[in-house]
Amino acid sequence: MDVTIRYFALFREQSGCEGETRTFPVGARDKHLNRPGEATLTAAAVYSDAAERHGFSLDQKVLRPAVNGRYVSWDTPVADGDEVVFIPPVSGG
Amino acid sequence: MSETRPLSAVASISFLVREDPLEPYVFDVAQQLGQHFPEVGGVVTFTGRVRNHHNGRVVTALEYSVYPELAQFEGERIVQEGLSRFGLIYAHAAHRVGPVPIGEVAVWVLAGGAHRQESFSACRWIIDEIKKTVPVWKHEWYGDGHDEWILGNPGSESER
Repeated sequence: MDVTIRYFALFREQSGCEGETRTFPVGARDKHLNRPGEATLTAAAVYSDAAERHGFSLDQKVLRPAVNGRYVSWDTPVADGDEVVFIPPVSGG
Repeated sequence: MSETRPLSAVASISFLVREDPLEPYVFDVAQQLGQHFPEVGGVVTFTGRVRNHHNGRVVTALEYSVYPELAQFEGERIVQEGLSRFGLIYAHAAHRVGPVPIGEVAVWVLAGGAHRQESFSACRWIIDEIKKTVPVWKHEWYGDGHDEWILGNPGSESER
C-alpha cells in the first residue's frame, strides 16, 4: 500500500524534498514502535521509517502527526492512499 | 439585538492565511466592523509584527513555512471556538506566511463582543491557541550569518 508523506519546515530541509510516496507491505509491522499484536501500519511507524531513512533529528515525542489534513494520535492506522505529515513544534505568530 | 449576519459581511472566512502583506487588509476589517455589527461595543485586536531581534541576536530576515490545508482548518476552528466560548459577536484572524520583512504584520486577531471583558479574554485566548496549534514555522536569519528553524514549546496533550 502507498502512503504519501509531505515535509514542511525543518523536515523539508533535512529530507531535501517536499514529499515522497512510500510503499509499505499490507499489514506492515514497524520494528520499533508497533506494540506486539498490532498488525496495522500506524502514523508512528511511518515516522520511524522516515526518520531512519532521512536521519531526522527530532524526537517523535515533540511532534504531532497529521493524516489527511487533520491532527491525529500516533497510534492512528494509516491506510492506502493516505497523506501523512509530521508536525514539528509550531512557531507561528 | 439585531438579526444575525454571515461573517462575510466584513470577511469571507474567519481565518486568512496568505503570502501577501496583511496591511491594509486587517485594518479595513477593523474599520468596517462598526457599520456591519453595530451591537459590538468592545473590540480588542492583537497585532504581531516581525521583530529585529530574538534571544539577543540580530534578526535580519524571517520566513514562515506553512502546511496550508491544516493551518486553514485549525485557524478557522480556533476562531469559531473563541467566538462561541466567549460569546463574541464577531471574530477574525489572519497569519502571513512566506518571507515577511522586519516590522511588518505577521499575525493579527480581532475579537468583537458586546463589552470589553469578553473581547479581551477571547483575543488573548485566540492568539495563544494559534501559536500553540496552527502549523506555521518560523525560519530566522541572523546578523552573524547563521540561520535557524524556531521550534515552539510542544507542551503536553492536556495543554492543547
